[in-house]
Amino acid sequence: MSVGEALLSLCDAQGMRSIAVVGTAKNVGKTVVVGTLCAALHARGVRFGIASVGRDGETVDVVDTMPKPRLRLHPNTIAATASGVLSPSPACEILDVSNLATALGPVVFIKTMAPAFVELAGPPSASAVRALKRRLFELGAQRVIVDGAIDRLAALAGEPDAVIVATGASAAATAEAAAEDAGALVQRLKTPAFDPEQPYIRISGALDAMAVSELIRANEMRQVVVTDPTRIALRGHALIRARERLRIACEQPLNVVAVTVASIGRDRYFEPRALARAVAVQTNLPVFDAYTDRLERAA
Amino acid sequence: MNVSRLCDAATAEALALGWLEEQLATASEYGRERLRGLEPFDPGAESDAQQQASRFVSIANAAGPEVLESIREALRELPDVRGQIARARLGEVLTDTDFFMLLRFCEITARLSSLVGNAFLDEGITVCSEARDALAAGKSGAFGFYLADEFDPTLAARRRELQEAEAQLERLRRQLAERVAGELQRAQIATDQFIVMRDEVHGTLPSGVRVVREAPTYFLCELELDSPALETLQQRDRCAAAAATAEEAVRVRLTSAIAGCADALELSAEGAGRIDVTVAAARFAQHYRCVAATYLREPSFQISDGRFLPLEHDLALKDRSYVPIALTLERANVLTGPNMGGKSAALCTAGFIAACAAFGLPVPAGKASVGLFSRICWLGIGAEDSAQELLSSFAREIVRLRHLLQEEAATLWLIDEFARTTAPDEARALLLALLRRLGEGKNCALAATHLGDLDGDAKIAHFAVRGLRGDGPPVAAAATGDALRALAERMDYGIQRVSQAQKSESDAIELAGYLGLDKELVESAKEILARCSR
Repeated sequence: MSVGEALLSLCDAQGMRSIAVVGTAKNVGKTVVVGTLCAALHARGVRFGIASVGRDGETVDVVDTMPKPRLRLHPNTIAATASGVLSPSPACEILDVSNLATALGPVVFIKTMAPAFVELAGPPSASAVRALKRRLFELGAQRVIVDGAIDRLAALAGEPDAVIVATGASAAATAEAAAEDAGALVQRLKTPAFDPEQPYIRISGALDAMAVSELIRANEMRQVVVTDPTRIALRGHALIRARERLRIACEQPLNVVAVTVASIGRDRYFEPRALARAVAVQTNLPVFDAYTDRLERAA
Repeated sequence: MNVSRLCDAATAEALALGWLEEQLATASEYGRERLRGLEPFDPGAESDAQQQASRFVSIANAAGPEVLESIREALRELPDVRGQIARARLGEVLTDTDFFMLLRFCEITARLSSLVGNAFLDEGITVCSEARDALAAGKSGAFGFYLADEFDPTLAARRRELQEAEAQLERLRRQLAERVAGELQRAQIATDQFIVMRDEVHGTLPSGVRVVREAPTYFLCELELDSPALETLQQRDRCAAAAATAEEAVRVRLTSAIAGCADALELSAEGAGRIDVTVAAARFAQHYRCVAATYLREPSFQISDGRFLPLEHDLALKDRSYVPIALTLERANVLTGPNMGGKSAALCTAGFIAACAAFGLPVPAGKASVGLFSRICWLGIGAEDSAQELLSSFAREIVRLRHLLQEEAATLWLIDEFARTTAPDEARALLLALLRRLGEGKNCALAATHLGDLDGDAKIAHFAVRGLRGDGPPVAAAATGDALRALAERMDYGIQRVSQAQKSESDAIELAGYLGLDKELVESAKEILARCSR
């Protein structure tokens, strides 16, 4: 079974119709993972839609102008992208022009008529991403893939989306550090849903270090409830400490199903199996490497 | 709406003309622009204003709300294609997204055309059939657009060639990937670059694999195309370039067709804007039970059952009812009456209706005969100029009056408690002098005041709010909201012409009691008033 097919099966098992792939950093193989998912859906004969939060699939990195993997879509794929990055050839069918604005023009819904490299650019707001997803389903997509960004994950909170976290050699200086970061992120994203039957205190806005210190000092025993996991503005040890002392929960949980690793980075390479193993231990989730076509699980 | 041609910002705020504009919100960008540019009718254009207002009302009466809503729905979907038209005129090659929008524009204007006919609108919308026909081959699904093969046989041929080359390349690449995957004992090679662990290679790497990087434990690899595959790749790229050229040639041709019918498209867009504003005005008339005013050539004003809609709306939100008023004004008029009796609301009603009439809109009244005014000016409470904060209230009022008097134009003056912050005798003198001045020329003025003895001048008509009814229910002052509701039931907001000199009653002390002011204080005030009267 290919990595794309294995990831799809995981999502199927949880009944998720849409899948969001989010990276812990730039150049961690997000587009490659999205490409494998597209290939697997195409192989299944599923009509699917794809959208991006931010910009993805460009030929070169807009920051450092280095070449990037490109997103090649099969015919009959529905995509949402900014009109300004839509390639004139091969021509696509224009299905709709939305009133969602991006810096690169309004978001356009297209259907590929021939195999095509497509650059995706989406709107920045959570509500706009939700609107995109809804429209892709209306336009006939049976599944939707969202090429996401960590800071825009709020768009997926409370939605029946499977979240796949991508990490890799570009994320940190060592494989251990990359694994630790991925572990902390997954722990944050997997913040459980709160129990309305139990006492709780609702935090409006972000739960940051100052708020956590206050709550710990006040010996807060109730559930500390944020809207969604993206509102937890804590990392690394601060998050671990906060979880030890407080019962942090959320109103709209996220469904993180797997992690992918890319041992090939822009500036460094990690040993592939060691990276996958370390990430599996830190995240306690199935870890896939699209480059080695392998699955790693924590022992 | 060009409200600033009719009144200044302070007056517009006092009359809540922003609220009026919100109620007239159009559905399309064309309508929004047309509404923004809507000018008030000048005195002398009474028959034009009359014609427009009557048209709006007759459409409101003839077409049901659901018909107007269906037109608005179509207008809402109408894309703004003015940018595309302008770019085509300048020779810029349009994109497929542009063609999608233009085709959609043509389709919706055609739908609008039939909807408008059903709604008894006397104005049609031109459907640009040239543009629609030029783009028709690209229509896919309900509204989609694709640069289809039907546009050009050459395009179809180039695409077929590309498709064949693509399929051939794909076949060769798949064969290579499958062979390599098989030799490496993997399910597939799914990525452009892939990693092969050294301990998985028995002997050498399969042929057709290029090593990009060697590491102690693995190889980073890519598939290496052989000569036939490379030749196919070259062929595929040639075909892709030819197909792209053919596609662009079709776009050039379509753009030229659009440029050729740019005038007709712009006419369609203008028509959509006109219809949008008409439908918005008709909906306004329907929703707020408005009528077409009869336009008078004199600066006068007669209304029955007139309503100040923003206040009516606010009261309805609080489950309170609004009492419409009747007013007949000519030249200079003064309005007195109790506090909370609706004097300011009467001024607002007059101003709001005059503003609607000036823009040729239906007016919220049972019946209305209104002259056209070049200006509406609000003076007094609610029109303080914050830019002159260093001046006292009185000084600010006087400075504003000085500015307003500089312009000689047919003006509706609405004066609310003028000179209320100075000594009553001098305030009365100032107000009388002002009303005498405003009674001349092409003005009509209504001044609300608590100052008495203002009807000594034959040229100034005196109106009064009827005020508190003695036989009403008792007022419970426990909660302000309840007290206000009970007071409203006891208040007769009707306005009557007062023919003889009459002392103005404010009922202020009684009202203060109803509103929950300390009983002892109220009684004390009553005693003082009684002593003064004696």
